[in-house]
Amino acid sequence: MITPLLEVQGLKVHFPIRGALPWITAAEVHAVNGVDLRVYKGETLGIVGESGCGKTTLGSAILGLQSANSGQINFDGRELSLNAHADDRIGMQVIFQDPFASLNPRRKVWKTVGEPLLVTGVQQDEVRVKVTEVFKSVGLQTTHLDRLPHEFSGGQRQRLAIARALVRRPKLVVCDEPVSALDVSVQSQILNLLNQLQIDFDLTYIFISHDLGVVKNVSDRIAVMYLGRIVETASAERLFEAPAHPYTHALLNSIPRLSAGRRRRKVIKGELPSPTQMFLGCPFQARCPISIDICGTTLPPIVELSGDHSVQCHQPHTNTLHKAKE
Amino acid sequence: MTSRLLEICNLSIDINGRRIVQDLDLRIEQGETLALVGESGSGKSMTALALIGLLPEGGQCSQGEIHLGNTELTNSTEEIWRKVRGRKIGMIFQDPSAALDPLMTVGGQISEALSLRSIKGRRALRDAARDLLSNVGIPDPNNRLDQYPYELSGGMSQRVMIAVALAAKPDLLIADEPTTALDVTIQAQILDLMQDLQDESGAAILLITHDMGVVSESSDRIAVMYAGTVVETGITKKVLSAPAHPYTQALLRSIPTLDAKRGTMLEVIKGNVPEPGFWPMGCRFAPRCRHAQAGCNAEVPNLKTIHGQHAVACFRLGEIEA
Repeated sequence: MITPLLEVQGLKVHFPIRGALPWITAAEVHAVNGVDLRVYKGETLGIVGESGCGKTTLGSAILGLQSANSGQINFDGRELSLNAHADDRIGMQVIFQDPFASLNPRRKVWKTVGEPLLVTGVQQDEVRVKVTEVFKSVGLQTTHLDRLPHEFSGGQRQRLAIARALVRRPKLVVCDEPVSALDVSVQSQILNLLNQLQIDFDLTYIFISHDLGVVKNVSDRIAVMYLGRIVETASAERLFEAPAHPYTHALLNSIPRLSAGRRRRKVIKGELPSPTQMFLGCPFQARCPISIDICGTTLPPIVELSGDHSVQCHQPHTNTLHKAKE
Repeated sequence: MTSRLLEICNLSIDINGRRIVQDLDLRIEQGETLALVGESGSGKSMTALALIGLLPEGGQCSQGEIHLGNTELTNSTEEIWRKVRGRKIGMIFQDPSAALDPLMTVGGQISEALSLRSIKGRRALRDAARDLLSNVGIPDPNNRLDQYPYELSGGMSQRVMIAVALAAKPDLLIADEPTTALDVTIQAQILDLMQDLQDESGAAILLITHDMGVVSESSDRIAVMYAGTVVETGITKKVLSAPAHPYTQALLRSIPTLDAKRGTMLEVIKGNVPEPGFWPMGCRFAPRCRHAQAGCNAEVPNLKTIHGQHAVACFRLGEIEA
């Protein structure tokens, strides 16, 4: 059995909501509510879900940008601290969504890109050499080292953010909606680049996005999140061919497709419930088209289906479909 | 034969002396959905704002005409605009939380729009507003009427805005990226709702979006905009299955689809979308076009009909393959 590069077990991140008096906690947002996941070396794990499902919080907790309440994170043979800003995330980097907000507008870009090296005490000359190298790998012109961020377009800025993530040769890069802020014609450049760099630099990605087309293009495996839980994990092919969770089904059905022509979608009713709500049973139960009595009272177990496909549902769809066929 | 609802002829829009839209021709038939597609900076939103006379400060239609039925709109007085807005043309904006008045109840905002339809009296207005809310699929409409926008989710606010836009029964509904701010499952609900309401009311929809999937599933005709001008237009199904302009072709190939395999190289359009007003000479797509020739930057190509309603603005039409 190969050991995963990153293994997360039972991770929970809760945010308190202050009540009328500031020292009283009125409620808790269960942003990440017991997540298990494994990421193997060299692969891309896509994490998809709608806004508020906790995908960004999960990424932040893995990166140590956000404290977790409980659980365990193992990375590259070490157990990591659950506290924010613990100094142990060596080998991990991040690419954020908005390249307009993630670059210091008053700093020359080579310093921003070289920052991960500068903070560890590498000499400026040496940093400049390394930044020049990484500029070439991400397709930026080395004559632009001394420019300021405003002189770059959106796509180029995202390249700068990628360069910054790569300059220390990380093992794992968490990409949090890296192309959502870009125009379609620029988006494809960045996706191609990320795919190429994965091969060149032997990278492992966690790719967080709400756009299933984008996730399909970069991911080997995909985890679907709903209300702080991973409800289904499968290889990208399998998830699209045989989704087992009714939420995944609904999600795939809702995406407008180029090839579909004018059509009506089979939509699920209702909206994401508030993450402060406590559920006895399945969090998707209120919107689920196939829910039964037990769904309202008991949290479904994680069922392992064939071929590295797991689903948290009392009656995974593939099973009901198979039964119907018999 | 359907009849013409709105016709835009040769329209140019300037904002503070910068040309944002140039020589635009568009028409919308009654009851149809026309999708206006383009990347940011292509001028699609400004075109929409010009249609309801809400161009930002310093903006004006410097050339061309907009005909709504028999009314010419480009140089209308505020008095005429007030008769058009809401009654003839309704508008749904991208961000419902910014477009609704935060200090006014949902019922109040809908009633305001309803009063354009000369419904009088508090009771009648409230009843009509409640009916509208239940029409747009809001559960428990009676209590929702007294709520403020901050109490609603994104999907619910968008439904309220649709209710406001439809209150005065307009002939044309302009929807500027109506689902961009929403999640996919909610987007599907809103798109279906718009389609249902269109079937009921027979209103035409001008759907502005950058999402080709939405275009494919929710429109009859399409107009693709690039750098302030329409480069290709036609029946949606035909344009998407056999795009003729190099920009449309490249755009469609650059979108990651659900059917493609992992790691499939996507088509890249080199360079960036030019900034509004700083367009290259000649065909504006020429510097990014892989089919461009010497002649392409001499002058701006006009829309030429290929067959039926399919028209394309490209000099190399017929010489290049899809």
